[in-house]
Order: sequence, then C-alpha cells, then structure tokens
Amino acid sequence: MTRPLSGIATTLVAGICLTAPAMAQNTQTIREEIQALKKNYEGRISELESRLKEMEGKKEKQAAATPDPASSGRSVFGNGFNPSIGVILNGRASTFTRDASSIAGFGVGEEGERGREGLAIDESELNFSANVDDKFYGSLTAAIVREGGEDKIELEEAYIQTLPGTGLPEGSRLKAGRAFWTFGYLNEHHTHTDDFADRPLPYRVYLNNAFNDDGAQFSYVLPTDFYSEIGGGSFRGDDFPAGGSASGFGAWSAFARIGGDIGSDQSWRLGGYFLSSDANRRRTNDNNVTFIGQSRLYAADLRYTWAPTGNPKQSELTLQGEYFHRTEDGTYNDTGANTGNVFFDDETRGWYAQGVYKFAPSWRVGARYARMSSPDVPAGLAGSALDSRGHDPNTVSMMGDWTNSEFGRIRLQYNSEELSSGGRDNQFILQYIMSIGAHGAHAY
Amino acid sequence: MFRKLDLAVAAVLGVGIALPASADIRVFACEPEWAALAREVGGARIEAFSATHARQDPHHIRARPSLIASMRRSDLLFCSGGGLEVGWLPILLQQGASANLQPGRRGNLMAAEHVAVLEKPADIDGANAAAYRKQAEDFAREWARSLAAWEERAKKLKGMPVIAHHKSWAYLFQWLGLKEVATLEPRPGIQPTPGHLADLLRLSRAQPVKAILRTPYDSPEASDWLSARTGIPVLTLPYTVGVDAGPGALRTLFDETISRLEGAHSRSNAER
Repeated sequence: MTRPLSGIATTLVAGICLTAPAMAQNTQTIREEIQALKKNYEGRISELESRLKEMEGKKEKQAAATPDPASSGRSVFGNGFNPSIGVILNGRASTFTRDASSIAGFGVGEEGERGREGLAIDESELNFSANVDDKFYGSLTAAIVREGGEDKIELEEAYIQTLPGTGLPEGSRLKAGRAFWTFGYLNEHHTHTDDFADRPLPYRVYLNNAFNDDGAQFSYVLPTDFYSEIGGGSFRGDDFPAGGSASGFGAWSAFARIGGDIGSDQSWRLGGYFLSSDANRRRTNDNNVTFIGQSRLYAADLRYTWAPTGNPKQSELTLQGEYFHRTEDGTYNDTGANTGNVFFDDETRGWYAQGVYKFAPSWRVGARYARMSSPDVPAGLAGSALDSRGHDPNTVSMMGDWTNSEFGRIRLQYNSEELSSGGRDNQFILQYIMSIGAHGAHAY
Repeated sequence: MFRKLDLAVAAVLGVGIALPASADIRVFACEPEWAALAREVGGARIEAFSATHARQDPHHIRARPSLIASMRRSDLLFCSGGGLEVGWLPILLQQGASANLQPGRRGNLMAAEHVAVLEKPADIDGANAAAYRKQAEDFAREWARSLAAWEERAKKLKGMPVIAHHKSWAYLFQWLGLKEVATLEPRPGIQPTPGHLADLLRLSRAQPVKAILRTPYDSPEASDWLSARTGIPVLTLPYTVGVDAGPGALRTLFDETISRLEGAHSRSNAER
C-alpha cells in the first residue's frame, strides 16, 4: 500500500497539460512542437500505462483490504468479497491462587464471572458484514463459546444500520437488531479489541460484560465544530441488567457525548449514558439469585490519547476511565441462602481507570485499577450472595503485550483481585488474539 | 489515451464545478498533499482540512472524534485510496459523512481510482467553473515545467542503490530510476527484526548502497543501527507537506526530496 502521489500526480499533471491548447501561429511550428512533445512524452506515456496496469493488478491483489469502488451503489467495507468475512481466534492459559471468585455484594451473571483456569480458548468470533445496498449496512457476529462443558453458538450481534442517504436527517443513523449498544466506552467494542484480557469489574457486575439486547438505537452527530453526538434506544429487556422481558419493551437508553483534539497529537472524548431496565426474574449467580424490579444505570466515560512523537504508530499514551452508578428497586431472592423474596432499594457505584502506553511500535504496557462499592444489605439478605460483609471488591491489573501486526497480539496479564473478604486472588493470564480474513476498521 | 490518464487535478476541478457555487467547498483530505493540491486548484474558494500530518503514518490513524466532526461538515472527500486509509476511513464514512461523500458518489475522490473519477460528467457551472479551470491549468503548466527540471536534475540519480525503511517510495523510485535494494521491514508493515537487519548488514557490505531512506514517521532505530555499522548515510525524506501547506508547497516537497537524494549521491561519490 504505497501512496501513489509521486507517480500519479506528477506525471499525470504533465499529461493533462498537453491537452491545453497551444497558441502558436504557424502550423508547421505546431506540428514540429507536437512531434517533439510526442517523442518526449511517448516514453513516459507507455511507462505510465505499464505503471497503471501494474497498479490495477496490485489493486486486485489488495482486494481483501480495499473498499469496492461501488458501481451499483453497493460497496463493501474492508473486503473485496461480499460479505466480508472475518474470524477471531483467541485462547489463553490462566493460573489462579484462589478457588472461589464470587464478587461480594452483587448478583453477577455468567459472563461476568472469572474465566476458566488452565488452557482454554476464548470466544471464537465469526463476523459477516457488508452494505446491503446503498441505504443499509448489515453485520452478524457469532461467537462459539464453551459453556457447561459444551461448545455453543452465541449470537453476539445481528444488526442492520442505515447508511448516509437513507432519507434520515444528515448525521443521523438508525441501528436495529442485536448489537453492542452505545453505553460507556467498552460496551460498543468487541472484547478482542480490549486492552486487557478481561473486562473491568463494573462491566462484569453491571453489564454481565456487555449489553447486547435486541432492540433499536438512534444516534445523531450534530453539525458542530467539535464532535458531539446524542442518541438513545429501546430494547427488548432480555439481556442483563434487564432480564426475562415481560412486555418486549423492557429497557431504554439515552446518551450524549462530545470530543475533540488538543493540538495535533492529543484527542479526547467524554460521554454520559443512561440505561433503564425492567428485570423480570433476572437470574444470576448460577441461577441462585433472582431479582425482580427496576434497575437504573448511569455512566460517564472519558478517553484521552496522546502521541508524544506525533505518530501514534510509534508511541502512544491512552488514558481511559468510566464511572457507574446503579439504583435498584425491587426484590432479591437467594435460593442458595434460602432468603425468600426480600425488598431491596439501594444504590451502588463502580469505576475503573486505566492507562496503556505504547513505547515501541510492537510493545505496550498497561495498568488498571477497578473498584466497586457494595450496597447496604437489608437484614433479610444477611449471609446471602448480596451480603458483602463490608467488603468493597477491587482489582489491580498489569499487562504487557506484543503486537506483531495489526492482526496478531500476544499478551501477558497479572491480576490481583480481592472480590470478597478473605484474601487476594493472584492471577496470571497469557493470551493470544489473532484475526484472519477481513478486519474491520476500529472506532476511537 | 489522455482520457484514461487524466488526473486528480481535473477531478478536483470536475467535482468543484458540480457543487453549488454559492458556498466555499470544504474539503476533507486524508493526507496533507491532497489538501495542498485542493488549495492549488480551488484557491480561496476551497477550505481544505487534512486529517493527518507529516509525522503520522497514514495507515495507522484513529477514527477520532474530531475527524467525525470534520467529515460531517465536508462537501468533498479527497484521499489516496487503494487501501491506504482502510483502517479508519470506513468508520468516518459510516459515522460522520453525508451521502454525497460515500464511495462511488460525486463527493468521494480517491486518487488511486482516478480512472473512475474521470468518467464523471463535468457539469459546467458558470463563473466558478472557469475560475477553477484556470487555476488548474496554471498549476498544471507550472507543474509540467517543474517536472522537466526535476527529471533533468535526477538523471544522475538513475540506478542509485538505496535501502528504504518501508516501501514508501515505489512510484518515486520508478519515476527517477532509483534502485531499491531492500527494505528494512522484512515484509510491508512488519517491524524490522534483528535477523533481517543482520541480512541487510551482509548485503550492504557486499554491494554498494548510497543511502538508507526513511519517512519522518518511521522509527529511527533500525536505520540508525544499519547506518552506524556500514557508514551509509540515513536520509529522512519529507514524504508529504505540512497540514496548512499553501501554494507551492507540493513543488517544494519534490524539490526538497530530489535535493536530499542529490546530496547523498554526491557525498558518496566524493568519498569514493
């Protein structure tokens, strides 16, 4: 992939110049001049033609990474095939020092739990995506996961999205289906693009790693000098923090965010998010804990990137933090502790902050701290999974990774987790993440 | 034949004409050279913004919020294409761009697809069309004159053996006849490895190499390492223009590139 500037622009400009009308009086002179010019340029023209041919050949070879020039208004992002197909392969080796890893004070879903110890593959992702036509884009991501000793297919995303020119106001988009909806920073991203091997505590607790319910979301980029976007969605209410949708319209969201640059080498984005969901028998903790009621989740995220040398490929500092606040109003029942239905009306908070520094093109190091503040537990839930015994779960993580190309990465991570009172769980995770096939562009 | 070989300038011209004459044309350029070219043709009527600057590798750019905002307000997208921006442009097109900027539409201009661009019917639009055309012709005439001068100067560079960090100058080398003996990257996009550098060390001792070339955004370690062991000078070629490059900047870019190559060429001849 070479910038064709020097070759194309230069000589082609010369080519055009030839077509400009000459202003000579004498036809003989003109003829001679033309002959001379012809001679002069013939060599170059044939050279150009061969170069063009070569370029076209190259383009065909590059098809896997080239957006189609779109002849019928149909274009495929990131692949000459339609649809583009991409596969994510990843696996890990993990060691833990504690047997138990329940997060004290919270009902935690299966995805939010600690991974498997020893050698294991992570979610293997299969993605198909393409423009449907000139107005819609479609994408499907299926993950093959190991759950309960079986390989299962989990539909992570299956959505359509409007393209500019659909007839909606300029700058607006409508997305419908199942998707990683806009909520905080990480939720919109697939886990293979994360900077750490696991999601930070608040994501594990509040979103069961990610909110990808069925639904629809509208967003609008405002025509301002700096970046600003607003939006919101309506969802079925099946996915955590909702659960067991009764009406089929059990959750809704709203968000607003702004962003911009500081000088030429620093960027930032700040967002505020709200997600309201009805939980109709939301089961967590191996189906022991059931919550019925309403859950409201507020979040704020901030991301800042700085390329000290001006070239982010060479070195880059990324700082990122998210803060969550949740209010829950309803009843909890922990069958494991035979609590029966107990009224619950409390608020909790969680946050994480992380920094990742790329000090060489292939090498990055990072550190992350995450903390949850547990709820005040009602007397009826004493001794249950919701009883934190005054402990605030927290984790410290450190990672280093090596990126051979944009398609392959190997990471070593150390976690020190104290999720419940009674000692730290020291974890080592060695992980690989590789992609084959089309590899879509990544958002900020 | 020239139809087929038509160029970016004419494309800017054509698109410029097709857009409403009332307002300035806002150009979102992926790289500074396209912003500079747009300014050469559009003069005061064009407001060009470059998404990247000279110290950045245009393969690796974040689809950052400010780019979404700029794209949102642009009338014309002017990029290299050919996959160079594939890691970030699609996101911007989905999130920020108007329908007119989408691939295959009138406001979408990829230098690498200039053949397709050219087939667009140039709807002529009164006074502005003439102005753009005039500026484009002036620029093209000047450029042709410069080209002839550069080619004259570069005759002695023909066959000059060089090592490049990345395959960044394939077209330049082909144009001026330089010989790329090897690249520091074992494969395009893969960082130089110790093993590959050791091979290059042997290679550059066995055959003459006059310069090691890098862009301002390539990491200097590998080229410095090889230079220290072989005595072959490292040349940093400018590669592109400044983000706010004004008239004449593109010419200066070529002047400067050839001057530096000439410098390395005559130095190594003097030493011999």
